[in-house]
Amino acid sequence: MKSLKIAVCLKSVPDPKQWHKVTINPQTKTIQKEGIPRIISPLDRHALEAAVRLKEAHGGSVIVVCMGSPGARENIQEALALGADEAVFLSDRAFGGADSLATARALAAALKKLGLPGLIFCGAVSYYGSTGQVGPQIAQFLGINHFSAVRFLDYKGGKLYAEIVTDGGFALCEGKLPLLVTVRREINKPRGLRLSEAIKARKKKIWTWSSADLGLSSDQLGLKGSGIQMFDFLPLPEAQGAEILEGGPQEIAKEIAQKIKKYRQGGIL
Amino acid sequence: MSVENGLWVFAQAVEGKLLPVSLELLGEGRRLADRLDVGLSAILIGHNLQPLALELIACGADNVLVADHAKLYHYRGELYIPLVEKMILRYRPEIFLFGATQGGKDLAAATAARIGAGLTAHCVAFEIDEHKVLKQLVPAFGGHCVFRSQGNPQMATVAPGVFTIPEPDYERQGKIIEIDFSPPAEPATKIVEFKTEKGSAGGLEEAEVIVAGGAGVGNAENWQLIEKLAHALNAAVGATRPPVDEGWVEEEKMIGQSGRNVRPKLYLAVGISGDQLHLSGVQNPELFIAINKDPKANIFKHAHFGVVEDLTKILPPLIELLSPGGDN
Ligand SMILES: Cc1cc2nc3c(=O)[nH]c(=O)nc-3n(C[C@H](O)[C@H](O)[C@H](O)COP(=O)(O)OP(=O)(O)OC[C@H]3O[C@@H](n4cnc5c(N)ncnc54)[C@H](O)[C@@H]3O)c2cc1C
Repeated sequence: MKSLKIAVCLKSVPDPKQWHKVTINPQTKTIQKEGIPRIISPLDRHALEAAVRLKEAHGGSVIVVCMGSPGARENIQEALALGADEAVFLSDRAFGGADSLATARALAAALKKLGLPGLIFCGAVSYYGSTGQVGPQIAQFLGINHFSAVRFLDYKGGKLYAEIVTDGGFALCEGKLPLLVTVRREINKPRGLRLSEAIKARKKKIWTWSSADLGLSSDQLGLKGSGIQMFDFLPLPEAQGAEILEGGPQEIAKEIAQKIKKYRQGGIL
Repeated sequence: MSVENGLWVFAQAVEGKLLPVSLELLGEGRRLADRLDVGLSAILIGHNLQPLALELIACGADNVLVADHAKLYHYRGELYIPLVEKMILRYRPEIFLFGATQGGKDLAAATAARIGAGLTAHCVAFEIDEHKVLKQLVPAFGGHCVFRSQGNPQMATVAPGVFTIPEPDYERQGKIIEIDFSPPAEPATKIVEFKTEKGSAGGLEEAEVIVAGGAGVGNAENWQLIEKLAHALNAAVGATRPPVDEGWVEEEKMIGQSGRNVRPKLYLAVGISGDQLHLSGVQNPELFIAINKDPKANIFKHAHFGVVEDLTKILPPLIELLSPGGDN
């Protein structure tokens, strides 16, 4: 049997704990996120973990594909320390400002260039943008099937079994490779970083590819290749503000209880 | 009104019923279609769909495109995506709206990629501009980002609960158009088993009273205070993202842009800073009370009543007072 080639698409995002520092300039409508530490988008870590566990159980290799600004290199390094074997870093100004469509197009081109891995993992949504669109879109650009929102996975006899969360409950699905899978957090508990692995990872290879390496023109990529454009920003009017309840905890608790009771007696609830 | 060049809404059937968001979108779709003077069509895929098609017409659809087949009963990307692509290429809609459900999001994203169209997520309002282009409003950065999507059709997803369901009128006339479907001879994917599950959201979307906790709750032990308070009030439990990330509560309980959209009458926010990405999921509570120890917390701008205090001091007496036998 051919050894299993697994890819993980990984996004580097501003640390969600410092999300409040991400701001918009209402004049230029550009988003400021410089200087905020970047992390691997949390669900992508679960995707990486799923890929590495599969490799540990069945053999094969795990390659990380990441498109991002230069700061993302650190996150790629971390992914290598967490069990990936090598990585492709799509780094080029031409990729900047991409929406999900342009992102998926670039990632799909890179995956194709890698000789189409049998299994591709993504997080179900990112912690920046959080559209959940990129996974299913990569699958379309590659012309392969996908399962979205997977919470349990098994690989047996050359087939993938995935339990996916649906609108009516969940479905156990079976699929032939090649397949793309987007994972939810319930799928696993990602391992922690170990120093010995981090040191070993420094020897692992990161290939840096530009738009030219993908054979895509600049109008298929980045802002120009995007399907949606933000063209205006409307600030909200300042909200009115709460009436602050004063007193000791016991008094305040009583006042809240009374307010709720009165409201309920008003027959509205 | 014709199917061609019109406004389309994906009508999702689950277990033989339409998801409410499909009808919500028909209400908004009707308003937009009238502004543009085009037809409103619902795309209905599943099995035994006749009654659902009539419901869609009653709720505003001029046409219902129906693909009815036993194999289509459950959402399956491999079958649904090429089918919807085929419909788009044949009838060329101008605008296509999807509910942000599991199936709706997946179908919208995949279809958009196939036809190379832009897709805007998290929309909460639409406007038609003077060039008849759809303006799509998405909450972020303390305001609304306004997007336009390129390509045909202009596509967008909308969370359940953003719009309201129109009053059905079963006198309304509409056309049902059957779409051919034949399943692939050798599909690469199949559903082995399907389990209906009510989900662990605990009726959050329908709840009239919600007690929501945030990062300020601090730990799993304190989270019990949120559960107890909710129990005392006969309320549903909600959360911001940090408690979900910390594992104090299931992801299904998350309220906000990437979680649920709720419309409670009474909303109690405990240890929540009031980020827009959370509050944009809370639609117009009639009574909104916030407990937060930081007087400058943004939540106090939006709540009706605020308590500036450590939640561990307020919740125990409050739970006592609200529990049966409490002196309330
Ligand atoms: C793309 C994207 C999508 C997102 N989607 C969502 C979403 O759908 N839903 C969501 O909720 N978030 C979402 N977020 C995260 C969101 O931006 C905020 O980070 C989050 O809502 C903050 O949650 P919080 O208010 O619980 O935590 P914090 O902002 O950390 O606030 C905690 C509050 O608790 C108070 N506090 C601390 N200790 C106590 C105490 N002992 N007693 C009383 N008060 C105390 C503090 O004063 C503080 O105000 C998203 C973020 C991104 C980037």
